[in-house]
Order: sequence, then C-alpha cells, then structure tokens
Amino acid sequence: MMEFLYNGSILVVDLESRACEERPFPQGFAASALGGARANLALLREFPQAGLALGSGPFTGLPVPGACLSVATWREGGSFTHTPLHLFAGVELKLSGFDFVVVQGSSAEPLYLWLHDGIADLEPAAGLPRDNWEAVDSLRRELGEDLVQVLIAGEGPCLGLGYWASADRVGLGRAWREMGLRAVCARGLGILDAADPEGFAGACADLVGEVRASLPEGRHGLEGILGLLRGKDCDYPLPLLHRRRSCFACPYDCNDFLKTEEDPSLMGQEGEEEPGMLLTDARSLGLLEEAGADLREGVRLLRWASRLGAFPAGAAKAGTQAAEEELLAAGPEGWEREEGPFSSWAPPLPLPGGADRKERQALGYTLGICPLLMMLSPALTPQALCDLLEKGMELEISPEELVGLCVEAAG
Amino acid sequence: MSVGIYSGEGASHSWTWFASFLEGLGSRDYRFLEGEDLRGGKLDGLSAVMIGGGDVEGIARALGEKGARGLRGFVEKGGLYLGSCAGAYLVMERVKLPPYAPFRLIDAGMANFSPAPPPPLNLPHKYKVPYGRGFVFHPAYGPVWVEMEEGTFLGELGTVAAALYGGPVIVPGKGCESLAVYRGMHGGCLPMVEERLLRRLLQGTCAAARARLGEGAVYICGPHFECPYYPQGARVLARILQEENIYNVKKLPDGQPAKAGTRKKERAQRNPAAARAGNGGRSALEDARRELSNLRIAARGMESYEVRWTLGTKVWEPEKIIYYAEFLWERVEELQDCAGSQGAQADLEELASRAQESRRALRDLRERLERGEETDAPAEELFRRLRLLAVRLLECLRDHGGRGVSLA
Repeated sequence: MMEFLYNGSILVVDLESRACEERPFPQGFAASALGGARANLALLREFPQAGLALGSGPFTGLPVPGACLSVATWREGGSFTHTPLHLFAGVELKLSGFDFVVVQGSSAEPLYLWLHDGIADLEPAAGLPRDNWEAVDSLRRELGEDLVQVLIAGEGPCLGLGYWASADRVGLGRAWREMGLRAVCARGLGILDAADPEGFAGACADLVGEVRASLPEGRHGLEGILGLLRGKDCDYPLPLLHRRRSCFACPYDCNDFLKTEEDPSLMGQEGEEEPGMLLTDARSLGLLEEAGADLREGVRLLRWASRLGAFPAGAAKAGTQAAEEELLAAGPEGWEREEGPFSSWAPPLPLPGGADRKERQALGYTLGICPLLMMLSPALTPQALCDLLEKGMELEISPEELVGLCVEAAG
Repeated sequence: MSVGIYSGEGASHSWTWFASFLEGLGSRDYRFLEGEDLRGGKLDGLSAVMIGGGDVEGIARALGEKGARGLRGFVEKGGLYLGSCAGAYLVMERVKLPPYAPFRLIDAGMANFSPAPPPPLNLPHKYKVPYGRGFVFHPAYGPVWVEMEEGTFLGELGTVAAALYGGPVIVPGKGCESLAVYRGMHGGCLPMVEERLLRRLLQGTCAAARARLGEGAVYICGPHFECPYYPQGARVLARILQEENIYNVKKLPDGQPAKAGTRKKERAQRNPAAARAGNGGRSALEDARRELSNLRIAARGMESYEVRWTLGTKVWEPEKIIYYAEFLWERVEELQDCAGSQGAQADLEELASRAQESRRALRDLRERLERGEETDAPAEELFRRLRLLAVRLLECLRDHGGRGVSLA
C-alpha cells in the first residue's frame, strides 16, 4: 500500500547478529502512531529488547516550515528520552528510505550503520579515528560523498551531527559506543509523495509566509535566542560571526558560524582547513558570555569539545582552561529541564499567547518540526498542522485530537 | 533481428540513449557492439547498426578499415545504418581524411567547417575540433528546432525539438535525400557564434539525410533524436525504423516527457520473480543493488568538482559520471524481474563486482584530484568501466528479463 509523506519502511537492526531487516508499515501505522517521538515509543513497545529508535515525522523532509526533525528515542531502564536530530541529519535519514530505525542488541566490535536508497549496511568501524571530525571525514571519504550525514558517537558522551554538536543532553554518544554503534550514516536521494501534491505545496507555501511574519522581529541566530530569553537584545558581541545557517526548511537561522582562524568579514575561504565552528547551542554561548570568556578562545574550546564528543554547554561551563579529561567528564548543563522526556537543548523561551510548552514541544517532536521553531512561531497552530496532515496524508483529525495524541509522547 | 548499438571505444555516454529509445518502444532487442565486432564482421542477426555521439576519430580508429568494410557490406546486404552526431560525421563521403576515408557510405559533407572559425561566444572547450587544415566547429549547443521536410515520409511529424551536441550541419550530395532541416535554436540552447553565422548555419540547412546503398539504407542526423531529454525525437527515429520495416508497431511514441514527480512505486508485494530466485539469487540481487547505490552516491560526490577531461577529441565532465550512475540506478528495480531466471545469479554477481570496481576507480580519481595529480588516465579508466557496467546491466535485463517487443 502506498504511504503518503513516508516511505512506508521500518528498519530493525540487530547489532549482535549484524542483521538488518526492513518491514513495511503495518496497516494504519502512520495514522495511529503519527511519527517522531510517539511512533518511536510505539516501536520500542513492540521491540522490548531495543534500546534505541530513530524516527522521522510525517512532515520531515517536506517543505513544511521547520520540518528538519527526526527524533532519537532512548530507553534507559523504564524511562524514555527524546533527542532532536536537526540540521540536515533528520531529513537525510528519512530520504535514505527508512522512516524509522529500531536498534537492538550490541556488538563487541564497533560498527557503523550506512543507510542509502532503502538499503541498510552494518560495516566495521574499528579503524575509524578517535577524533570525531577525523572519523566523519574518514566515513565521507569511504562513502564518496561530503553530503553524507553522520551521527557520530565519539569518546565523549554527546552525539555529534557531523562536525557539530547535536541536541543530545542525555549521553547518546556514550550509550551508542557502549552498544558498539560508532556512527549512523545516511544519504537521502529518495522522493516523498503527498496525497494532494498541489494542495499540500500551496498550504506549505502559505504557512511559510505566516511563520516568517510571526517570528520575533529583528531576531537572528543564537544571539537572538539569548536576547529573547533575557527580554532584550543580546549584549554578547559576536565579532567573529561569519554567517548564520538554518536547518532544513526553517525560516529562523538559529545556527551561528563563527570564524576563529580567518577574517570573518570575508565570505570566501582563505585556506584554513578549520576556520571556525558552527554553534548550534544557545546555552553554551550564554555560559561563555557569563564567564567573561574570550570569544575566540571560547569557540575554539567548543570546537575541541565537538571533536571529542563532549557536551558543548558542559565544556563552556568547564572553561577555556579545561583539560581534556574535564571536558569529557563535563555534564550536559542543559537548560533547566522540565518534567518530561524532551531534550533540554531547546531553551525555555517565553511563549506568545501563553501557549503550553509541553504541548508545543510534543507537536514538534511527533510531526517532525523543530521544537525551537514550534516555540518561536505561534503560526504553527494545531489547526494549520491538521490541514497539512489532511492534504499530505489524507488524515482527518481535529486539532484537539492531534494535540492529545502528541502529548501522550510526553508522558 | 536485433538492433546493434555501438558502445565501444570512442563512444560517449549517448549510446545509452539508443538503448533508452528502444526501451521506450518496449524492446530490449539490442546488441552492444565493440570495435572488434565490426572489425570481425560480427553483424549477423542485426537489422540495424546505430552509432551515436563521441570521439569520431576514436570510433574510426577502433573500427578501422575492416570495420568500415564490414559496415558497408552490412548495409549493402540490406541493413540499416543510423548515425547521429559523431556517427554521422563518420560515414560522410566528403569527410575523407584518415582515419575516416574507408567509411564513406553517404554522399554528404559538412557546412560547419572552417580553416579559421571565429572565436566562440560560449563553451570554448566544446567549440571546435581540428580536422585537416582547419576545424569542425559548432554553431550552437543544446536543443534546436528541426523541421521534417514536407513530401518525405517524415513530413507528417512536423517540427520537433532535438539536442544538438556537436553534430554536423549536413551538406547533402547527389543521391542523398534531405529529410529534415534546422530551424534555429530552441529555448535553453547556447549560441557559439554570432547571429548572422548562426542563421546561415542553422536556418533551413540539412539536419538529417538518407541514401540508399545496395539493399540497405544509410541515415545520418546532426542532432540526437535519440536523446530522451527531448522526447519528440523518438517519434522521428521510430518512424525511420518503421519506414525501413524494422519496427512494425502501429503507434508512434507520443513524444511527451516521462511523468515528472513521483517515481516512488507502490509498496508492492515481494516480486514473485525475486522470490523464486533462491537464496543465492536474492543475495546476488541485493549485492547488485547495494553496489549500484554506493556507486550512485559516490558519483554524486563529484558534483562540486570543477574539472574536465579531454579524452581524444571528446570532453568529459563529472556530470557524465553522475549520468551513468543514475542511468544504472533507474534500472535497478527491473533487476528484480531477472533474479529468478536461470543463470541470473552469476550475472548479478558480476554486476555487483563491476559496480564495486567502478566505485574504487572513482575513489582513486577523486583522491588524485584532491592531491592535485594528473587525472586523464584514471578518468578514462573510470569511464571505460562505467560503460562496460552499463552494457552488462542492459544485457542482463535483456537476457533474464526478456527482450520485450520483437523488432522485425
């Protein structure tokens, strides 16, 4: 049966037997499980031996504003945590042909999972360098494409998204290494279909305009996020700012690339192999500012932390004089975490109109929309999302039902 | 009787367009020819030989005098020769300098020759090729309008868009019938010369011609009617095959582009043919899919490289690597139909092995580029491997998936 907005494919990976099995969606799966965190939970109930599920949302990879997200759901003991996989990793995962990946077992020898064109391969990873960046380069050289997205588990606790820090604040990096999973690589050349392609595309285009118009005026980058949190423009100067970068399909450019080794005012490359660092985390930037750290040294610290797989905010808290052992031992230092399973990467932004944070996050984590954008933009209403679900996958659901289903994933 | 498609030394990737054209007619009744096949006169069982684009000097040398004699004998005994672009230049009587002299099958020459062509407006690396005491030069590059000559059997097809990628502006001689004329540039075409010269060369001049030779016929075309990017051209080729009693289907291709958008198939039941394959066959099929996907992704990795290789007289770019990889990948699902056939397992294993070797060659090429080393030789090797891989995949589909519609 043809699935809309999805490939219709669940991959079950057994690291112990090194088996990868593809299964089609059970009848009605997309309609009942929806996607993302909610669907991951359903799959982890179905596979009680599995500790990890990577799941996309129905909107992931489609031109819905902020639809960059896949979710890594981790089971530890009896509890679950959900970590956003943003930038372009979440999209490539889905476009590689697998909407959901369930991982069970463990391997004594380190492996990496390579997802491409609906094919899943487990390959030996023992020869990969210790340094995360070098490991990413090695994998991309092996696979032949710089656009291969790599979720990398380094020596430290924090999962990396290629060179950059992910939103992992629970130690997925360490957990994956202990399972014998060094990396998940994905390259997506697939196509996703909508039930009403013209209607869906038109609704997406309209919604992009509405979301853009609803974003806080004059705010950009991580410094804009910090300014919102403090109720003023950020007073932390970013003289090293080279450019900002959005995640897939997102109208808010919340990632800042700072150049430490070249002149940031020059757009072109000057020959430095590693000219700077993409910051994906407002908390670490804020902690550096609070500590009065020199920005250049602070960004160099974060780059080093990323290479090790250390938590970025933890590294910022440890300070620019921290030794390697301190960085590796540093905790996540996430934003004050509410009750609930969602990553403490997303900052506690003031929500317009008294919206409920748990509800906004739950919608994003289930449907495949960045939780940060869900909190920034009131235009992403349940009604608008229901409209997209109807046009995209012929799912008729009321806003109240949608919110109820999504919030279930929040526990 | 099958159609022979030259895919040997000197051929560019455009030989695959002839295969796609036949697939569009529902046929895999093809045989791929190397220079040694023509030199050895191994043309039995063929109704037609098609030679497309490439390095015309390379093709001429690969075929040699023996190949030229074999080709002439084939046509004289009733075969059809169809040459587009390089395949057209190859057989013109007035293109008579070595190594082309033995190939004179049709009384025609080319208008796009000059001892000193003007400087190019665009694409200098594709503009001209030395010939004798001058150069063959190209007035435009890309889609052109081609009007079928009224009163000929093609006249009913009117005017079509077709791809001109270095093919001749034909000057037909006596005993050679003009079938189509150029009618200027289509949208997206790049002019290479100034307006006046462009008009002189591409307005009302001969784009396709035919001559009888013994019992057979020779057709030469400047544009690539076989190019799938401009599907109206397929109607012209199909009509030619019909005219020569090679293709007897009543309805010509509709000339519409393949439906864009979704190529995702319905999630089908496990292909019954694949299910009959047994473990060995299924494993071989999965290996073939895996390696072709790996190759495809590695090919995409070449997209950002600004590099060109001049191999013979033909310019190759990374986009040709991507072309080959995508051409192969588009046919991967059809390999499932083959998996249960006798002997398919070995062929599928061979495809997987060839794809893996091609990827290694690609990685070698890329690493040399990164190191700033010379890459002509590894590029040539890579394109050779890709060409052979494509031939083997198409043969596998033919041998195990069926020849489809039988051509006369």
